[in-house]
Amino acid sequence: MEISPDNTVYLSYEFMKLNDTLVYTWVVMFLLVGFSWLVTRRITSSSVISDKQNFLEIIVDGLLVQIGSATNQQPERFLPLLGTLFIFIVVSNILSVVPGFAPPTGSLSTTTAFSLIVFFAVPYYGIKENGFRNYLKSYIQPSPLMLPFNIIGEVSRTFALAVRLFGNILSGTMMGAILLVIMPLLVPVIMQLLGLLIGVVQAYIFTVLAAVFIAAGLEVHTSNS
Amino acid sequence: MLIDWFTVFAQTINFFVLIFLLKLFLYGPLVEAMKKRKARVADEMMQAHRTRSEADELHKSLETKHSELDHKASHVMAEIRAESEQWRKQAMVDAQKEIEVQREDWLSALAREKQGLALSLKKRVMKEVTGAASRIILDLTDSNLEERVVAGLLFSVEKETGKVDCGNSEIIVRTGFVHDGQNRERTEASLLRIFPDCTQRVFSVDPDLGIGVELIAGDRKWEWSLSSYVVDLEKSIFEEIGAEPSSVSADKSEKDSGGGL
Repeated sequence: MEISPDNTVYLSYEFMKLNDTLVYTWVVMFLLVGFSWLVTRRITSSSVISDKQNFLEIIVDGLLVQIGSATNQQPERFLPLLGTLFIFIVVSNILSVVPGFAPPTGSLSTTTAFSLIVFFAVPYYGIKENGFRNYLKSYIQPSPLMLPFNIIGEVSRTFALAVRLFGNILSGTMMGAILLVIMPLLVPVIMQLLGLLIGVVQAYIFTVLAAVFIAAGLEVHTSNS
Repeated sequence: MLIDWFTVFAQTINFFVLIFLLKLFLYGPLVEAMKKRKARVADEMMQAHRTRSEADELHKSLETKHSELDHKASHVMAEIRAESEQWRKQAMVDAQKEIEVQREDWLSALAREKQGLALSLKKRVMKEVTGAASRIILDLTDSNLEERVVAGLLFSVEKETGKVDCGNSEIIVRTGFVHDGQNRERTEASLLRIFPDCTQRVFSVDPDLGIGVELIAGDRKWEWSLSSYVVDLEKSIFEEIGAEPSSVSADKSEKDSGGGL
């Protein structure tokens, strides 16, 4: 039994490996983009819309509301980053109930990549909003003595973000596998359902934390300026 | 090691590709459609508000018009009531006048009927009295009533005046009955005796005199009528039926003329 889908490698060339994480990530991407294309190719702004468009509008509108309430900013400019994070994570986690599917979010590489994206998104939006100098000043606020602690805080929360999602998804998958061996009837089904709930909650937590980090950076820099 | 940095790099690239694709196929079209719908709903809401405010204004203006019409209607109703009251009063007055006219007509008609009845009764009474008097005179004097009437008048004239100078004028003898034959000759003889100077004598018949006679000589006139004897009876009859005695005026005229027995 492999702990991480990174370890299941189909092709490798020097340091490049085609593993389960990448394959299932493409699967998820294909499903998301394909479904979106199918729905939005006949999109309409009239009052009467299809069920699928209605479903997507509910999700996007809910994301806009959540992002807006978490950031206190116009949510549209954060929607591509945070919305994609949420949708990708939640679809990956939900698909974990499909036998044979290895969720990409169960890979520490994936969660690290997402955490790094968030890590760099915070200064990106902060510098874009308030300028480079003001952003750097935030690291020596309220005192230059706080500079190492602020840097440690930035790194540690990124690390926590990656490990939290990875740990929860991996633990759910591992527990399901272990319970399937110990008690193959009924209990694994309950655990899978619980895993679905945990997967959705973790996607929500990851997205909201990312929004809060970005918004916190924006607010700090705004108050400094 | 759990982290494969190639996979991290590849997932980062994958994620940005996914962001691009979802922005192209999901967020862009959906957000645009939602914005258009929100704008259209906002426009419709604004239009609805505008329509509502217009409707409110129209409602207010209609209420104002309604109250004005109510006021005008009450004013018109008051005018109509006043006119109808005036018309009613006028109609009452007209009706009373018409009733009065009809009542007067009816009263005059009734009076005429009474008068006619009274005259009819009078004629009947006169006829009966004349008949009775004729029979009495015929039985007692062996002569007729008409002869006695003329003879009585001439006797009274002769007794009162003796011979009269009529100034060469004619003597008019008017009777209510036919006076001819021996009666007329006797009358002419009496007239010649009383009015020796009057040679012209005219005899005429006036049925209205009934059993009566008139004698006119110059400016003097004598008359006798049986009706003067039934004046009291006539008065009683006329009082009984509520009519005015017709003989009263005749009686008065008799007295005024200075003649009569």
